[in-house]
Order: sequence, then structure tokens, then C-alpha cells
Amino acid sequence: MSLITPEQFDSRSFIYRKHQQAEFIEVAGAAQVLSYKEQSLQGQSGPDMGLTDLSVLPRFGLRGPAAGDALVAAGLLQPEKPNTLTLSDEGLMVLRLGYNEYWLLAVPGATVDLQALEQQLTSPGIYPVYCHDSYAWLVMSGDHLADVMAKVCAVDLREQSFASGDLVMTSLARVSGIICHHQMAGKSVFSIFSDSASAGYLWDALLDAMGEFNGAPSGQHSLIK
Amino acid sequence: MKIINCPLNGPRNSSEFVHGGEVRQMPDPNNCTDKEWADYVFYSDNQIGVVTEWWLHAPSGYWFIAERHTGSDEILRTYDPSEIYTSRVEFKAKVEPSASEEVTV
Repeated sequence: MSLITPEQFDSRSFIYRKHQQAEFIEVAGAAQVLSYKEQSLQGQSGPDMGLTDLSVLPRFGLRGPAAGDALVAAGLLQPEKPNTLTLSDEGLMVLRLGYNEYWLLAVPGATVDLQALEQQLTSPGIYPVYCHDSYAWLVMSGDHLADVMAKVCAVDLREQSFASGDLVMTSLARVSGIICHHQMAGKSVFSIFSDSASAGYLWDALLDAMGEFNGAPSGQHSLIK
Repeated sequence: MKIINCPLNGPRNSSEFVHGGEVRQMPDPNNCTDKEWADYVFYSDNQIGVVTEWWLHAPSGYWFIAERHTGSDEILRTYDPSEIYTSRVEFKAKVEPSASEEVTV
């Protein structure tokens, strides 16, 4: 049995009840799924396609006419074009959503202090965007990302039109969401952000779509080198 | 499904978009008549022809302007609102003469 459970914390993933038979670790004052019991018993690295819930990991957003310049002044990798992202060696991911909105996220294993950054990035012309408690963060990994997404999303997400570093804001499985293509542990993954209210539905819908490609829930350990 | 070309996000299914009404010149709210204001807020021309309209790409919360023919429903052009609106529209409250005497600032 896991010693850490989501119920021990006030801050929980929106879909923590779906993580049965999981081992958790404490991350940022909440319980993050490390692995699922049946997978660790098998002693395998995980299923062919994995879906990981990273909703509890820290992130914040900012928008406004001065937001882009503030990121440059702070020495952060700023995505130059709208709807693209950058990922630094320290594990800081910066999404540029449209022209003037940025989200800053710490990927699993990141060494960056997001709280300090959030306090640093304040000035007139910058407005906070609360993307932590309103958006679920799901990560899909495996070899058939575009094939799975083709079942639920109308946008062409194959490598030739959706390269690593791109993101799209569209509807997937009939809910609005943000799909980001980036690397984790040397593998291509899709990070999916969607409204917390429909997180449970989207979790089930994506797992259903992944079924034919041997997809299953996967813990954070599969996304760390 | 119909495809709408969003200036920010590219071609997308029309189900991702929300109609926002005609783009119209706003009358000066402090000096226009109630009839002019009601006409601006509540009525649209509803003619057959090319209309200029606000559209919202809902997943990204992005508003843009589209020129659409109401007869054929063909969207002729879409563009960022900065082509028309180059500066922020400020609203100033109408100062009543009696109230202005009490304002000391």
C-alpha cells in the first residue's frame, strides 16, 4: 500500500479518485502518481502508450502588453512566435498562447523555482492568469500520438505539420483544450491542458481512444530520465 | 464541416467558433440619442450582401473580424482586429453639471 494518498493534502488533482492502485509521491504540496501498482509488479517500463496526470505540478500564467518583454528581461527562453513553446534544460516550459499570453510550467524533475519567478514577473502591463486550479494537465506518451489524436481531434497533429515546439488550441473529444508537442525524457509527448470541470471525462475519453494502441494510465516515473 | 480560417490559429472547423455580431461604428454614448444607442446595441441591418462581423475562436479566446456574404455564407476574408482598431476605446462617464461642482479633483 502506498503511504502517501491524495486525501492527505488539501490540494489534489481534479481526477485523483481515478488513480486507484497507484503509488504517490509528494510534489508541491499534493500527491503525484509515481506509478501504478500492476505495472510495477510486472517490472516493465510501462504500456506502449501512457497517459499521465500532472495536474498538481506548479504552473502560472501571465498576459498583457508587457508580458513578453518581462520574460526576456528575466532571461527566460521566450517563444518567438504565437502558439509555440520553449523548454529549458532546467525543466521550465514556456507556452505562448496567442500574442500576449504566456504560461510557465515546471515539468517533472525540474529544478526551477516557479514561485520566485512568479513574484519577479510583476509590473504594470502584466496581468496574472490562473491556469493551475482551472486546468488539468495530462501528458500522452508513446509511439502513436498522432494516430490516437486523429480519433478525437480535427487538427493534423502528425510530425510534418505539428513539430516539437508547436502547440495548438482546439477542441479535442469535443472539449476545448491546448495540445503541446515537446520532449520529456528524450521522447516526444503531447501535453494536453483542458478545463478542470471536464478533466474526468477527458481522461476516460483519451484512455478509450488509446485502447487500441495498448494505452494505459502511466505514472510520472515514465517521464523522467 | 465548414472551415473558418482563423488569423491566429489557422483553418479550423466552424464548430470551434462563436458569432459575435456585426462590426459597427459606436456612436458617442454621451451625446447620442437613446434611439441611436438602442439601434447600435440591439439592431442589425440584416441585408443580403457582404457583412463585417466579429467572430470568436473559443478554444483560444481570440476575437477576430470576418467578412462574410450573408447570401452564400462564404467567408471572404478574416483578419486581426488591429487592422481597424489601432487604439484602446476609452469610455468616459458623462459628468452631470450638478455633480461636477462637487468633484474637487
